[in-house]
Amino acid sequence: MIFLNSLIRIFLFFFLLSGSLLIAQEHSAYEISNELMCPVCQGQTVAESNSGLAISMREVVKKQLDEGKNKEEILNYFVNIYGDTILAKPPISGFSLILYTTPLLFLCISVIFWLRKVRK
Amino acid sequence: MNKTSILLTFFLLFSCTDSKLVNNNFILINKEIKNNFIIKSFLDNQDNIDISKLKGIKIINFWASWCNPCIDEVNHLNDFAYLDKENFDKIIAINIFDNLDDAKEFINIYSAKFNNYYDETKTIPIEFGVSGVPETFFMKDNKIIYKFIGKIDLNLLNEGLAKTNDFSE
Repeated sequence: MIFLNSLIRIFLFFFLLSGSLLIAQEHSAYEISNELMCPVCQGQTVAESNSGLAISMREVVKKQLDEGKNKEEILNYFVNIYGDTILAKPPISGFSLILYTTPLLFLCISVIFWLRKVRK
Repeated sequence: MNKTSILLTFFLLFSCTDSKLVNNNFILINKEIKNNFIIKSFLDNQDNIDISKLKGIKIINFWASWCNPCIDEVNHLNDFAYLDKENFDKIIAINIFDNLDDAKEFINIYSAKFNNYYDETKTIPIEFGVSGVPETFFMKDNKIIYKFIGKIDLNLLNEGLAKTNDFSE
């Protein structure tokens, strides 16, 4: 009877452990998919889209998590293939730096011109 | 001020141009397929293929049954495949983003007589960097050399083949 109780406890422990690991992996897969933009959808992340490409991308995320890769490695894999634009939050460098700074630059130039005009 | 604006416009235009683009929309990829990617044949008597172990020049065409330009491509791919035995072995068409029954129906209705496979893993298009269908890739051994986006015809297939043949690093 004691043996049976111990066996049930061990079984329950591993059952709950595998369940929580599975949930954690699902959560990681969702989190990573949510940081990737679907290349063929307008403004949707891979996690939100149901296009064939997004489904494939989610499969790749799951496969790479199974292989033990971390979030950074998985995101880098997609960036190497599709470029920085695949990221929901692309790094502020290169062309995106121009995109971020140009409006601010134009605003500053406009203010300088406006001030000069007012002074004259 | 006008000269500055013109210069700025030119700078922005050229900075936006993709340097990887070559003529006729053949995009240079030059990427090795390292991991095993198995595709399954629609025919029972045809072996599955591991893309990472391909030898020689191959043309990988991604298609789906719901894609209209893919219908137009069928005749061109058939023509290319049946020019000679070597060409037939070069073509590997892979059905993606699709329902298997619809794909089988497509092959029968439009008489796609070239080598047709499907991707059970759903991961192969990502490794190739596919963003839609149809897309065609020109491979040398296990290396993707060129990518062609959109509907391809017989002339473009021959052109891509010649470009891949001439390609050296």
